[in-house]
Amino acid sequence: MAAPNSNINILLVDDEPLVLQSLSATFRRQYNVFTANNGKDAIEVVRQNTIHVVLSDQRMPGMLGHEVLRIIKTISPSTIRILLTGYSDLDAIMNSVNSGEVFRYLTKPWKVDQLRETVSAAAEIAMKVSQVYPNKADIMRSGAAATAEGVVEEEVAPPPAPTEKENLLIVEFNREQLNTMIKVFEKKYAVLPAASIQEAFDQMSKNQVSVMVSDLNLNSEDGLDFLYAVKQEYPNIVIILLTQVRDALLAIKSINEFQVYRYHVKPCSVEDLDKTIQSAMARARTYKVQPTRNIHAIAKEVAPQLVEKEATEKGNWWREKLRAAKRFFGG
Amino acid sequence: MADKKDKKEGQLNFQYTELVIYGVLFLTLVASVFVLNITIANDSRRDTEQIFCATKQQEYWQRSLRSLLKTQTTQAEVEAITSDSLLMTMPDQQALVETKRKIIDTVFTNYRHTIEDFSKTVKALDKGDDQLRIEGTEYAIDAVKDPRARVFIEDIAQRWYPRADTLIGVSHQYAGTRKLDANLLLASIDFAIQNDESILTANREFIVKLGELSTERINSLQRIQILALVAGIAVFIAMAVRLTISLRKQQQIIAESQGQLIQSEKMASLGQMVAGLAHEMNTPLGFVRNNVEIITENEKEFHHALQQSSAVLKDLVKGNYADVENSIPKAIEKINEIESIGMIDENRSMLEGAIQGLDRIQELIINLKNFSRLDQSMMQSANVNECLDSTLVIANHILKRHMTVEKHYGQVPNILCAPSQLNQVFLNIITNAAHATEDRGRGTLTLKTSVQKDQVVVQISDDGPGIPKEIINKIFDPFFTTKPVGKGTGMGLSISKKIIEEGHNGRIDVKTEKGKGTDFFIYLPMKKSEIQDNEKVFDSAPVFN
Repeated sequence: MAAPNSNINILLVDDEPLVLQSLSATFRRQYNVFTANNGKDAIEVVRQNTIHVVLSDQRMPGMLGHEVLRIIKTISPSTIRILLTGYSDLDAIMNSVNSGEVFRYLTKPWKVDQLRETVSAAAEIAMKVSQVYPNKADIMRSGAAATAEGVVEEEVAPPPAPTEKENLLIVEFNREQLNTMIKVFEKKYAVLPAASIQEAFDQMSKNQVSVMVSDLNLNSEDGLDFLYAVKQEYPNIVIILLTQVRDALLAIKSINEFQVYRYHVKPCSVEDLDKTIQSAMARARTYKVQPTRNIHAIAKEVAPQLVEKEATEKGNWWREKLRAAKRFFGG
Repeated sequence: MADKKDKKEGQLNFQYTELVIYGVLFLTLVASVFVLNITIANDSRRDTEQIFCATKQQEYWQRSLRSLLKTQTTQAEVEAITSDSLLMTMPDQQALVETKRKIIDTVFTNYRHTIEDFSKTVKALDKGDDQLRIEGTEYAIDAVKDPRARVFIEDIAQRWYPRADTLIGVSHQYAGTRKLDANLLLASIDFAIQNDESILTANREFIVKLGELSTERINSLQRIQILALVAGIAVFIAMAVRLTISLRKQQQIIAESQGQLIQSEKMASLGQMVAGLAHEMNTPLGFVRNNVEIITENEKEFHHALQQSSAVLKDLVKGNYADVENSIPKAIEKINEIESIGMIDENRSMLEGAIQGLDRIQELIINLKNFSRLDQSMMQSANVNECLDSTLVIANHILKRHMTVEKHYGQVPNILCAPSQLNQVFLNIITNAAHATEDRGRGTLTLKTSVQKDQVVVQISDDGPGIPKEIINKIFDPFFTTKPVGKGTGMGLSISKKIIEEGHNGRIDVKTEKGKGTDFFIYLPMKKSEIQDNEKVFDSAPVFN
């Protein structure tokens, strides 16, 4: 057995004592394990200790898992958050994508190997990320009121928006819908339209894209593979999904494979989408000045095997094409 | 689906078209009967006028003949006097002649009128006359067209036309000159006497024929009217039958779609149950699997330690002391490692956890079975307390986050019921309660059972916001829902009501207070298990020879 690595603290949250017992047994040899059987206790543990990785159940009495993770994010931004749940509840998953910004989404029943791999990748990322975040004590002091009731969305102010318009790539195969979106957004952003994967690749090679809004249903091509390839080659692009498909499994994959920033279901309101694009732009600026904030990019560095594992053949094929396009345009 | 809808719309259009066709048919029938009636009434008026005309014709003819004869006799008398010169010298005879001449004047004038009138009537009946004056009144006489009647008119006309000039001429001649052409008069009288019989006969025949024809027409009118009536009734019956059929069809469609909805509601509650069950099972399944994997890992360590220990023992038995020195510390190290980590205790607790998890899964399966009771007959003896407990297990995943459950079960006897249906009702009400308190984030679900007279009462209460007064009367209506589209079929409570009232002869009641909560009361009659009383081995008394 590996020697205990007492530098890393992980927190397990579940309302089921037998789950906690089982998970503790899984991790106690590698990490310092903390446990909590409800959201409130978990938040308290994070306040009092430096927690690198938190693994939480979704459905618990009182506070739901994604809420707990969101609050933990404000208290300790460097903590890598993983959600563990049975994927029966789509709303919970959508909530966790859109508010918790979790690193991975694991489903019950889980496999020990996969769980260990994910947690160890998360731990490595956490070690790296924790160097760039301000001391947690400082946050605690400045934002002592960061309780369940009052949470600030962006913990560290992103760099201010530049004066010129930022690039927004819109990938949509339906011309009509694409034109509608161009019309709506061209005043605020430099819109780069793409009606095919090839066009999207060209746009990405020629321009520096900050945020992309993409559908998943890309003309019989699997949007997941395409987006995986994009995220691999351009880890700093913030991806927003705008799709008709309300599918829990897709949402889970979007988090695990390309760290989707938000998942919007068509039709959505212009205001909501615009708000999301703005905050995605802010996120993209943050990535530019603080690359360590990009957990996915770090994951690629520290745990490439975990990222590669998500890849499908098709995804890799797109990646090759994307690389070729990049070379062609001298990107 | 779209095809079906189109088809339905098509059917509806077709039905409307059919209805319009029936309506038009019906109206046409009525209208044609009216038109026929009016035409026949017109015909009758025409006939009456023709008959009147013919009667007058006869009268005129007879009068003219009489006038003619009178003229002749009077003329003969005058001539007898005037030819006798002796007589002519007598003044009284002269006066007599004068008187006679005056009579001739009058009679012949009369003759002139009547013969002219007669001529007019003949023309009128033959060719038609719009302004025939008979005794000061104007009549519009149509020419007789029916060949069966026309034969007589033509007969008269053929007799009359060639001599008309002579007969009328003689009167005109006299009117001018006061002299009578004896030859002409004689010819006229000759014609009149010769044809008197024929003209009168033809005239009579004509009148009789017209009468016959009119009777015939009335008969045919009656036939047509009866036919029209029959046709009208037929159209009406066809319409009624078609309407009944389409109404039946619509009823069937409604019943079908209602059935589908009930089915989809069943499926929805089944889906809810399955989702809940999956979630409930995934948790124990998750840790049981995890535990087994850890046990497997630990087992490798144990195996390792065992191998090393047995190597030491074997060496000792064989007397390989040189190797023992080497292998003992290794084995001890391994055993120490196992002990320091507490691997044996860990394994034990993992095994215990796994067994507990498996027990939980087993319990869930038993409850699922209790909940659906698919393997048991519909009506059976069951206890509502147990039903409520089964339902609580199934509903656990929607309750456990924010609801506290309080049970106040009374001592209730088993009743004859369909437990799976009752469970569906309970699940429905409990789910509604959970949804009602969801926004607030906490709530209390109270379950009470008791016996009142000969009824078992189940009370399911929540402390949610209550049901608004405006909708309290609608909650049991089919399709009524306050949930967003896709979240509820709106059939839950209506089916619950049906299950309780129709399936169990019970009653379901709701009391609600704004801000305080809602109470559902389910009253179920206590029936002694009749099954046993009615139980028989054979459906009829066995007969043995």
